[in-house]
Amino acid sequence: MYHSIRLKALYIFLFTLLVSCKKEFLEFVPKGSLIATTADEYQLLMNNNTFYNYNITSGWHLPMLMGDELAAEGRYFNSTGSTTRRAFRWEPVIFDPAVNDAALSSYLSNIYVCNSIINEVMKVEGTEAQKKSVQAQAMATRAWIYFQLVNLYGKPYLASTAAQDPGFPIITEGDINQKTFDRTNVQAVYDFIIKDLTTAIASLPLENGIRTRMSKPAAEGILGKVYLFMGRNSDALVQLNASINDINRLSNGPRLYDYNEEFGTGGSFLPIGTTGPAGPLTNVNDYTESLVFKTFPNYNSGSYGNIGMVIIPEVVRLFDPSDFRLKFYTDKNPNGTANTGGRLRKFVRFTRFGLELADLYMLTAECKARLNDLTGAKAILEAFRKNRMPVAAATVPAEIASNQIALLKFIMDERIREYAEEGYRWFDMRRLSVDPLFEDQAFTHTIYAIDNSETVITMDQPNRLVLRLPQTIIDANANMQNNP
Amino acid sequence: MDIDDYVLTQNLLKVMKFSQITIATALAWLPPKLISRRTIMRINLTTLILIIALMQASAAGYSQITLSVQKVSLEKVVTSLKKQSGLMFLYNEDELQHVKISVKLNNVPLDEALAACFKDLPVTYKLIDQTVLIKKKELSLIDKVKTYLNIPVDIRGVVTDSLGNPLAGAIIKIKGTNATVLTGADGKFFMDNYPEGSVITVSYVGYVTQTLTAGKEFLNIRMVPAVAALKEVTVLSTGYQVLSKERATGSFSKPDMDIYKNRTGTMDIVGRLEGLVAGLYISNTTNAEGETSKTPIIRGKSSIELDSSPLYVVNGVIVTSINDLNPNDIADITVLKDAAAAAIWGSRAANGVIVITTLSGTTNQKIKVNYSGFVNFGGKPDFNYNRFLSSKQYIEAAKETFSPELNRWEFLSNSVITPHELILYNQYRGVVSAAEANASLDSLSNIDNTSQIRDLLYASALTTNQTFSVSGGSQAYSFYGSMSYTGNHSNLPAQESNAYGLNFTQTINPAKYLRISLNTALKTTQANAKRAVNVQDRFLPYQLFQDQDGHNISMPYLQGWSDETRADYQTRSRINLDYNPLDELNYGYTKSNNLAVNLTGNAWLKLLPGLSFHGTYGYSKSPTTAKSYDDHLSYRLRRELLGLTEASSANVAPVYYLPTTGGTYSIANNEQRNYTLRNQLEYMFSGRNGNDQLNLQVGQEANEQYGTFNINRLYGYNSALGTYTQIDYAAISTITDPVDPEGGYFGGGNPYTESESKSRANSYFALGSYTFNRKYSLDASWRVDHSSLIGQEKSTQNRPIWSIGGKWLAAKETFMKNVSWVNDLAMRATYGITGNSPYAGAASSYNILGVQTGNFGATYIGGDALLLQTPANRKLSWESTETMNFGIDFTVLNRISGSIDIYRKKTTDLLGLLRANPLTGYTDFLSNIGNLNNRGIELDLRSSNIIVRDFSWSTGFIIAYNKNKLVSYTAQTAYENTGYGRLYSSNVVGYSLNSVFAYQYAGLDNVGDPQIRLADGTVTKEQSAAMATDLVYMGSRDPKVSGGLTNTFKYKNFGLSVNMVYSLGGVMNKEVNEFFTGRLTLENTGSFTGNTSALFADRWKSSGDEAFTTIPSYVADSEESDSRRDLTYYTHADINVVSSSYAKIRDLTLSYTLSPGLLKKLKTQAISFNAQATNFMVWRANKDGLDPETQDLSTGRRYLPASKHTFSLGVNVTF
Repeated sequence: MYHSIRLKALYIFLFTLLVSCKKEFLEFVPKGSLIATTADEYQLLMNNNTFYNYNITSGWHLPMLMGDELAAEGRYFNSTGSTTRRAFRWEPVIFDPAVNDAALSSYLSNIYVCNSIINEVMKVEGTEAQKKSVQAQAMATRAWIYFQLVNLYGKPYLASTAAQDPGFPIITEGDINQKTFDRTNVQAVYDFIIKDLTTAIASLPLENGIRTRMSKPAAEGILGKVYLFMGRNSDALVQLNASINDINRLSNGPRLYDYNEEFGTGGSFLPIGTTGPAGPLTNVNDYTESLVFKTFPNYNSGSYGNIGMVIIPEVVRLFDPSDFRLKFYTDKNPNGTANTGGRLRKFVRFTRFGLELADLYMLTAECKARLNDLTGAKAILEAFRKNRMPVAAATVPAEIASNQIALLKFIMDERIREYAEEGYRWFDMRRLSVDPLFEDQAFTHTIYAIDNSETVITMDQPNRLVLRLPQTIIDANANMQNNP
Repeated sequence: MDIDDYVLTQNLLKVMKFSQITIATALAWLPPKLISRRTIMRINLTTLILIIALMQASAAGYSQITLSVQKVSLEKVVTSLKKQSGLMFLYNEDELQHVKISVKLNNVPLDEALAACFKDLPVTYKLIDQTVLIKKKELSLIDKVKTYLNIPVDIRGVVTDSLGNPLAGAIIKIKGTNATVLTGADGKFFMDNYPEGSVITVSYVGYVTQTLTAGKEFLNIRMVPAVAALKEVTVLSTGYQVLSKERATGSFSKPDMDIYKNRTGTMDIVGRLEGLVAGLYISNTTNAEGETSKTPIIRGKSSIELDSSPLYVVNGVIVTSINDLNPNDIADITVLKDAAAAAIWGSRAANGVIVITTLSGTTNQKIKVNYSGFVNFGGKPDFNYNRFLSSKQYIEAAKETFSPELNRWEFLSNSVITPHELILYNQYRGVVSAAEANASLDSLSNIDNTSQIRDLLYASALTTNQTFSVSGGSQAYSFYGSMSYTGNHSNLPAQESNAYGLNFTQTINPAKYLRISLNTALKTTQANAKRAVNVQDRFLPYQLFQDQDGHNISMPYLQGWSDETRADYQTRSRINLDYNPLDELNYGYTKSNNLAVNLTGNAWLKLLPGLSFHGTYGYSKSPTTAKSYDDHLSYRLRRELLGLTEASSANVAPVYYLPTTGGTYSIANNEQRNYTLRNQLEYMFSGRNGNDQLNLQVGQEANEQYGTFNINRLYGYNSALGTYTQIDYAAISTITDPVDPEGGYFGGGNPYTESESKSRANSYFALGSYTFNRKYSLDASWRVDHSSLIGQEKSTQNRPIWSIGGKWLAAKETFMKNVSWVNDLAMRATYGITGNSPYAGAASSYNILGVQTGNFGATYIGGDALLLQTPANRKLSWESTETMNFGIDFTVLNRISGSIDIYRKKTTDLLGLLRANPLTGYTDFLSNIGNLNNRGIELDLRSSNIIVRDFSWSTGFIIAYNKNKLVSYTAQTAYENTGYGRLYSSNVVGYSLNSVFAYQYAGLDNVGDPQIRLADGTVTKEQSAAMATDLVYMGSRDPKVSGGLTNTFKYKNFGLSVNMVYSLGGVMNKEVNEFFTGRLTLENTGSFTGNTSALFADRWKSSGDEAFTTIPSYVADSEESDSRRDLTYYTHADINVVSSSYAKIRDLTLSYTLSPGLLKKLKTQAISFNAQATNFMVWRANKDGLDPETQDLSTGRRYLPASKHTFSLGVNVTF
């Protein structure tokens, strides 16, 4: 009796051991999760909206607050969060010790994803071209992010000191266990950006479907902007021209809205509701003018956003009265009451800060002006301006068009007219601060109290043109020197 | 363990757990001439008093006996007989100590062997079924009675057990004579012609001997069980094996199951163990919504990141929840506390293990039917507990703090404006006169809404439970079946659940070498809830819910917006924006239906002598469907619609993006499916007449926990027709100018969502134990677990978990035989490793991606996308806890038994969020980052204090001390060195978990701002002045000492049990004033808040007050208040941290058992009734009247207690 039972039982026992030993028993990926194994999947990862939809406290929230084209209405401004207030006041420490800068955090997690793609995609299934394209998109995206970082945390680029000026750590591996990082220097970061972009341009598609994704003209435009920020004007012009040429080859590329039409009878920006005209500033998904589309919500919401921000009267005076862009401003407070000082705030809900066609036109104009091609500069600037105001007003006055400095200043003002209250100014303030043509500019911010009395804050230059690294980063990297 | 051994112990377990049971034969040892074989002896087995030396019952018929001994104790002979015959022997150890025997037998039948052994000895034996009862021979003495014939009185009486059942065979002796008589089958005895006033003694095995003076009257002698005098045979179950407590080296605890059964105040099984198991601490907490919860922790927390709950094992199988068990179906609970007890459960056992065995039938048992039921009245919350401002004080405070210049009316268009504020603003704006305003405010201050809240918003909580059970068995088959019903009404109106359970356990012995047992449990629960609003006692004290005519009152201001804004939105959208809390009740419901199916099968197959195969197979499935409906009339849906309606003016027709009729209907399906397969080989060897006992097991186990969840949502659902509306999700996502500018999204979410979770483990294990000369035991276990944490490196998984333990039964040593006051003494020592596994999916060596979806499952404009869900984390392992335990078990003075355990637990590789270098792109990730130590000592004492006629008193006392210390935990950051960092971190290296730190309070300054004293003695009110070192350590929120004291009294048919629990050595924040600045209004829009602590009235008001009060001033301007002072200096001051120690009578139970005479008439075996009341605070260390169980230990807020006391009534009938 024992014999047969024993055999049977041992069979059962051994069989179950065998079954349970099977490797697959423990190795499975649960539903809803995935480990990428194809280039397609990496492309889908690159499509992630964290690369183009930033949060209200990230994106260019801080640069927006720090632009000198703005003033603050105390009644609203005083109720905003401490971060918002400190940034506007150009205080050295903006974030509480344990608080990560949301913008920096989102850039860093984007870098993690880019690095994973760059390092892994060539090893997986897919055609060579497809894999290279995905890798190039990640590289160009990483370069774009580094361009933001070096312009927030590094000094403005000066060829003479860039190799000594502390930069931002160059991260090329995705490893959450990595313990320490080194800041390197501004030159190294720019070199890294240029290398990424140059490599990427070779493999990027001319057109890449939806313009949330990197394309060849976008990368060329960004590279041109980078060179211009470095003062390498001729290199810049090559890239900017290449970008414009490539755009012209596109069947469905970015185009400028012609405000003459959009604000004309039956125009798409009408009617002007309580939140302003329709169009890109109110429609989060409008990428008509974008080479590469990246946006963040730039409106007032509770204690953050642009609550309390108005443009200074000097900026209002920069506009020609017929300029349609004035329709994006209101002298009404957010609660609908009239601003007692008659100051204007912008109807903006979403700011685009990837690379915009308007920016490309103005950068090209600037580049040409700097290279003393004043005619070329005037032409391209007017080509842009006629989309923003009646053609009659779009012409650059001759006395300005014939003077390099005056024309450059006019272009800088044009940038403010186009982009006030959207953060672009901050980056221009930085580079102009080291531009011999624009020396000795003082930057001030005014806070208007309810009785219209003013508090004026003057920026401590040059230190406050560079953000301090948040304390969390300094805590984690003992040997890292913070900015002054 | 052998099959048969198992059968018996299992059966015994079940026998022991019935409160009243009849055993027709097995235990009745009776003088043959006095009673017939059918005589039934009834004993109360819950206080089981028989010494039962048990080994093997025969499955293969009685064996032939071979025995050859010279002058050895009868005990040894019996042991050998037990071994060879497989019979169970019952005897009194003390009585058999001096009996010596010499016998030589060679392969003789059992009957002959017994006769030979006991021939000429002063003992007698009786074989009943499979039990041999041995007792001192005293029969012949009966004859001597006849020699005393010339005495004048006849002594007569009846002897019964504690329940009044007649005791046959009790011995009656007359002091000073040799006269002895035994009671007959009816328990009666007669002794004729003895002197009046003779002193007689009445004795019976297992009962306390009684001495009394005899007279002419008929004596009613009720015997009291000698509880501690006789060893209780305790069987422990680890879930893998059943072993006798005597041999176990590990730290096992068992609760007093009588108290467990009587705790009808809760259906929560673990909650019923409170105060009954040393080292099992049940933390009772109440949350802001008034919900109470009980969290079990065994021997202190050994994890920060992971759940600290014990592992639950039911009938040998790990279960994720024990909520589906009927508390009445439980036979036995064993708590495994140290490594030797728990290590066999591997990487999930570090928090301890609670092993539950459900009832099953007993072989050779008559069919027995039992009914038990109770009803528990939970009542309504205790509104007398809290201390808030009364309406009068509230209006007073509102006037004092009203600052219209700071909080300008024109900025309040989107804010909550409470009625009292509206009056004040109206007065300020000149809309009403001062007199009118005062009249309105006065009328508010005369209203108290407490009774309306109590009457209209709460119902009386009620729980009922009824269980019918049937059990029985023959030699080949036994069963236990129960049917139960549990009904529950919560204390919120229209919230109820009904649960029906079926439980059937059968054991089949189809062949001598095979035994199969199968447990099938089904439970279905239907829960229905309407949309009751949860209003605690923190609401505006004057806001009524019904007017004088009984109409429900609308209070739209609660949801924000001024009347003007609301009117505008309402006009434009044409959506009614009234908010009437009482009406909401009927605007929606959730109905859920759960079916829990649980199957557990066990098979034992004898392979070779001593060797058997044991398979355990468990499968459970628990699908739940929840249907939820919210009508378009409900405020939430109206508000949702408002946010998705475009209407630029009152003149244009609103465009609705959501349906305006019907309602939102969702069907959620949740299913948990688990299985366990375990195959093991068991080998048992016994040599040298049982002086060598070896037990080995080796096996493999695989298990899976699999859960799915999905939810469908329909909009515009018409429940009558079953129709719904198609929603244009794309249009919704582009809405730009909704009527409610804060709207524009919708809370309903995706039309369909699903998720799945799965974790698997595969394990190998081995167990061994050896006992030498019945005095020295050695245990060891080893196990290795591989789990399915996706992609994890295998090297981190190959970490064996093991334990080793030893025990010395000192009382069995010869030198202890003469120490008469020590009845039992044993020492134990164990050492081992247990684990605590991270949750499934916690780590992976690859980046884990997931699908990215926008609102309603739509894609963002960038097209289909994946997102990076979890970054690769290759270096994660489970937490490992090393436990060392020393224990002593003892019984002294025949009355007091207990055990002491001292332990040390060292947890390494503590999981926690390691602060990543932010430059990696992540702020933190799960990692093995720390070490934690727990030390403790536990004492478990049980004593029979008084046992006399008609009355007994016994006490159980447990006390457990536990202290933990976080040895290391992640790297310190600059922030953690600041005062704030220290204040808000509860896990600080060098201190206990849940540490409380506080500022050294230095009183108020002359403007009523709080000041602190820094470590260097400086007094300051400056913000951020304190560093971590300036704060003082106040203690831990976790109590250091916890335990229980149970006292059970019995008098005749009455029983009283008083169960106290206590908790000592913890600290908590006490109630503080929290209103210092700004408006006196709701805390959050839509919340039923607004009132504030009555302490506000005692605040600093004018210069000089700092001498009398510690409560800071009210400063209307929040900018000023925020800039000039730090109020946490007061709210987190050392003066506001107090001891959370308390002692409560958790429950008090009075029971009554019907007398035997009455039972006979009713033709039942037992009927008992009990009544219980719960929660009487006996003592608390704080002077503020705070109940730590309804306190937010961190913020100091008093929460509304769900009830003051609960009361229950129960009945138990055995037919």
